[in-house]
Amino acid sequence: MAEVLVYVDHVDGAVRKPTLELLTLARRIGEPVAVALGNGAEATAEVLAEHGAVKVLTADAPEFADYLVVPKVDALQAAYEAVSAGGSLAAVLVPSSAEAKEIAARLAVRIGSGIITDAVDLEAGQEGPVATQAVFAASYTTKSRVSKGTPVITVKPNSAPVEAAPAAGAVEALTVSFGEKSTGTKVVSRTPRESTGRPELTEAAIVVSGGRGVNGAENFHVIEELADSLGAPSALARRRRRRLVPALQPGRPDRQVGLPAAVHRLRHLRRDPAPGRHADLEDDRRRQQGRRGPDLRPRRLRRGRRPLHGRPAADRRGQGPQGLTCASLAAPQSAGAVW
Amino acid sequence: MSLRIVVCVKYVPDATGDRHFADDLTVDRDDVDGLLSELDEYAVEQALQIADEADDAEITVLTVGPEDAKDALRKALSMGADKAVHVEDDDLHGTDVMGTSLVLAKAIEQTGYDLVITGMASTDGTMGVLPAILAERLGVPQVTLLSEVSVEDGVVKGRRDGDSASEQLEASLPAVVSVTDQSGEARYPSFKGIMAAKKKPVQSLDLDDLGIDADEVGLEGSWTQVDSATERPARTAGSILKDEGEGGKQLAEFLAGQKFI
Ligand SMILES: Cc1cc2nc3c(=O)[nH]c(=O)nc-3n(C[C@H](O)[C@H](O)[C@H](O)COP(=O)(O)OP(=O)(O)OC[C@H]3O[C@@H](n4cnc5c(N)ncnc54)[C@H](O)[C@@H]3O)c2cc1C
Ligand SMILES: Cc1cc2nc3c(=O)[nH]c(=O)nc-3n(C[C@H](O)[C@H](O)[C@H](O)COP(=O)(O)OP(=O)(O)OC[C@H]3O[C@@H](n4cnc5c(N)ncnc54)[C@H](O)[C@@H]3O)c2cc1C
Repeated sequence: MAEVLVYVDHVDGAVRKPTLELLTLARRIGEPVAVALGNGAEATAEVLAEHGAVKVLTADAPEFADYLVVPKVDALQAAYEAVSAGGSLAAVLVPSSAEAKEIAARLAVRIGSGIITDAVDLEAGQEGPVATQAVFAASYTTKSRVSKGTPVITVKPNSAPVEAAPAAGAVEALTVSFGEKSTGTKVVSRTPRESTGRPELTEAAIVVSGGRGVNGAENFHVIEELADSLGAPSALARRRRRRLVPALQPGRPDRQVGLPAAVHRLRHLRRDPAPGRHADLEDDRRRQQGRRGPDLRPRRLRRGRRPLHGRPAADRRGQGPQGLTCASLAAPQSAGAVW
Repeated sequence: MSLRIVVCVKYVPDATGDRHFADDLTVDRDDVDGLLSELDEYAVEQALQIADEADDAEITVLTVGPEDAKDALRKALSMGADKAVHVEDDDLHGTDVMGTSLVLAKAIEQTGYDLVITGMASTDGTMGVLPAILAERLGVPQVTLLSEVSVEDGVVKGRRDGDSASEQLEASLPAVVSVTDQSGEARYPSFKGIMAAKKKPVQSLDLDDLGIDADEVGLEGSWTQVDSATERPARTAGSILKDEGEGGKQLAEFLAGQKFI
């Protein structure tokens, strides 16, 4: 049976959920061979074996922590060479985290393979694995294949269920020799991100999202309370003209869903909810001012008028006795709400 | 010595417009209004700030795209970039990320560079991998997804807010940098900037100029293939609960009904 290389996303040996989902998809195509790198690599083997890994290739070296991305590309390439030398390698699957995507892309260039990013589903096909992508803010679904080389495919969180599928999970040490380019970008220091105690927005199955309807930052706690009771992350639903943030942007404890973006805003909202200085209101004001003045840009450079969509603001005001106007729930995958 | 900065900017269909695919399953870039990818404005902004700090710097904006992609270059020039390079060739239609990165790498080498700056992802393809591929192809350090960046004495430094940690990075020039939307609000072009942009040079290059064969790029040369694209059925309206004393309860019932809780 063909083998499928699965890159493991873990923190000091704790495997992140998207990697387990990836094993479910990998088993549709062949036998999963996992690659775990860095501190705690060997500790990943047990849980990987429970979810279908027949083999776990591991390597640890200071380079993985001290330099950005490239040492891991060297290691994944070593794994690729080891496995493809043994027979048929059907695909290299990588979780769609920011760093893993970069590793996958550089591997693809090196081995002369095409790459598909952010697949939301994967099936075996006559001419290799067929990936489903949700594109243009999930308004289209595409099916695509890699047509040259060993398919390298990155998969978004929540694309498949985590399934128990006990396998051998034999640990094998991977021999890696680092190239001269591997020390190009030095990681001078690293500060672990504070945990909010809630699931990552990008990995969550449920997101509780609130926006203008909560009628002010001081009421945002209703959203957070609901989020906590569901074990879900909270998010801010609002559009912001100048910011389009793709789904897997790293570094956000809480974030916005929908067109625009960002937790740091949420944090400001929490810290400084001075009346009248609500970020939403500020934004509206700026937007209105932008409209009032003459547009000096040449016609070709002017952006089309953007319709203010949704109901008029007045409609949304007015809170009920239980402190709610409305709240929206979205399963990121099915609703395409986080992107 | 002058610091040579090349900023890669992409011309994308307007996300608020009706984005769709053409018959050959490529993005329809003709019938839809396009503009400079919003996330690339941050790249231009950081280039301008780095150039301000340097004694002497020159910013070239580079795009690979159809004729209308000149609009994206003009916008970047009106923000303050010095000159532009436009790679345009009918054979490029349908190129995937491997082909696009090959073309960009050749054009960057031909232009000459100390620092390449890109956005974190385009707003149409949203792959977010092109900067890493560029670094691989150019054989220079990758300093990507920075929310803070500075250049001093031939060294680029920055902060990368990763999935599980925030990292301070450092690399010697030449290097490829990508910046996030957290790096600082991009400026609006001034009237003066817009007028000045009209006189700034825009160099046009085709595949021959870059020594790239037509079969290395385009739909044929693509290493990936799109087999189908299906439009998603229109979203149905959500239900609105009016809170008249029972709002919380109704919401809980809704959640239970949808099996959220
Ligand atoms: C071209 C384009 C594509 C987009 N694609 C997506 C996409 O793929 N996914 C996505 O999530 N967003 C998408 N958006 C953004 C989305 O349409 C809204 O702009 C965004 O969700 C913010 O909503 P709002 O402006 O109504 O928020 P606000 O005005 O901040 O919210 C108003 C209130 O209504 C509530 N509310 C908002 N939506 C709902 C709902 N559906 N049900 C119940 N209550 C609700 C909020 O919780 C809030 O209390 C897109 C926007 C554009 C312009
Ligand atoms: C919906 C969709 C899905 C796609 N999926 C795939 C796929 O899975 N695999 C694949 O190989 N191709 C794919 N493509 C094609 C791919 O988007 C293009 O080849 C593209 O030019 C490179 O990818 P990106 O725009 O996603 O780049 P990103 O990696 O998201 O772009 C990062 C940065 O690179 C720079 N940049 C990107 N393109 C250009 C350009 N043309 N000119 C100048 N600078 C640029 C910009 O600074 C940008 O901010 C897809 C395209 C679309 C529209």
